[in-house]
Amino acid sequence: MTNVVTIIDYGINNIQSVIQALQFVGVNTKIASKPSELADAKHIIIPGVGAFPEGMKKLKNLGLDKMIATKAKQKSNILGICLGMQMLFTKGNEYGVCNGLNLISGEVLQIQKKVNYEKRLPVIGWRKTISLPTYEKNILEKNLNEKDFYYLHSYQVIPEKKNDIIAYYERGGSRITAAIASGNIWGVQFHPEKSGDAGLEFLKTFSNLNIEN
Amino acid sequence: MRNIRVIPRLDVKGPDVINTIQLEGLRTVGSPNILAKNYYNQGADELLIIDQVASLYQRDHLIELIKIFTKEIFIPITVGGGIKSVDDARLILKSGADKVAINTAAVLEPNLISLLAKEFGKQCVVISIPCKMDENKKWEVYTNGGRDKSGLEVFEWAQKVVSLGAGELLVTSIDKDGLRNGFDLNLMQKFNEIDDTPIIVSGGLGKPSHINDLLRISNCEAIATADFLHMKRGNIQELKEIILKSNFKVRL
Repeated sequence: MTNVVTIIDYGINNIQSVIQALQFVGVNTKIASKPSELADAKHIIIPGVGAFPEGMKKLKNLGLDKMIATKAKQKSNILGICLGMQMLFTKGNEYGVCNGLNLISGEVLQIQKKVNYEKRLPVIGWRKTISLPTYEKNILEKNLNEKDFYYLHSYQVIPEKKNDIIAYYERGGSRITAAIASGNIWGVQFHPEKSGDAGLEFLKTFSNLNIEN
Repeated sequence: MRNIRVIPRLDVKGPDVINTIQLEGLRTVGSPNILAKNYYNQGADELLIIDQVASLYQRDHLIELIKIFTKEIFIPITVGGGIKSVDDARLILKSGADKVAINTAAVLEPNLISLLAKEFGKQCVVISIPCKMDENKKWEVYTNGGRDKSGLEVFEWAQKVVSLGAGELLVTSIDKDGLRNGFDLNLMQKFNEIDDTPIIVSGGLGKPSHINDLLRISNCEAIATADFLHMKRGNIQELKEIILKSNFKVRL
């Protein structure tokens, strides 16, 4: 199988680690920093580290926001990583309210700082991730369940439809959303490109979704 | 209970990794590429790379090194040593590092911390605090790889860097570094006052049970170790087992 995954480069951070991870598992990569470069994309990754408003501003300036929405309608598989996932939602609240891509209904809120013994933000480190196995959309389940992934975040997504949540991790006894899915739209809060073998396997599986199409 | 990360620390000098005692370079212990790959395969949770000869002439070598690491190593990498500006940090991050560790430049220009946090997000900004107890039994912040006194009191400085936007603190006990007789428990107990920012502890690990001693009194989230791994006194899995036995979580 030779599939091509297109990585969105909107100038906010280093996309090399995502590219390296995909190439390491034998996936061909393309970089898109303008709408035309997304025209044929069947698998799209929106990486991201940083703040929500800055990310959205850069996507808009490059005209990528509308093109991502078009590709979503055309049923391309779209995966948002960390900030890339958060921007899939209706709105963010980091440094003030900011509209997102609105491909998934819901918002992004700061994680409550003190929950039982957990007091520190950002969340930095590996967390055991639990998938919700009853959920039929969750074809990435075996790549998620009981795996340790690397997280680095202070904000969390709150989907309007609870069954858009396909995996979570626990922080101080409460659940933080780790992964979401809504049709062909996917998102992970963790960094698969920094999560060792578990992350590499995850990226490989995503890259091969619906490959017959 | 909370998760604890195990972070191999590579003090890089030119083409070599060196071992330090009280932060003074002592001997060459191997090649950065081979050691880094080996620790990744052993289950390291992150890597910490400190450039010991952080002059401009040595930078190209460090950048090349980071680029090589990111082709085969898929865990977070923090790079420190001689980063003086937002542009320096950008170059390091662009090469593939995930976080930068700052010590001397932050002491000289504390506002750099805010600039870095604003530009790259606070999760990218690790403030390295080498600590040494002075004759009055107060802990002082050192700079320049542990060589120079700063005149700053450790805990006041730590509070300040957190308020300026530090995402993580790397606390190294110069008194204990490389001596293999355990972490500086008094120092780390005092660091519990800072309870809202993740802390990485470095300096003193000689045997796995030292971790148990540390976790009993400290709220730290990560342990950085060099000598213990470089001199093959044990491996990462042994350290993780002792963390589990101390009733904390680790990534296995």
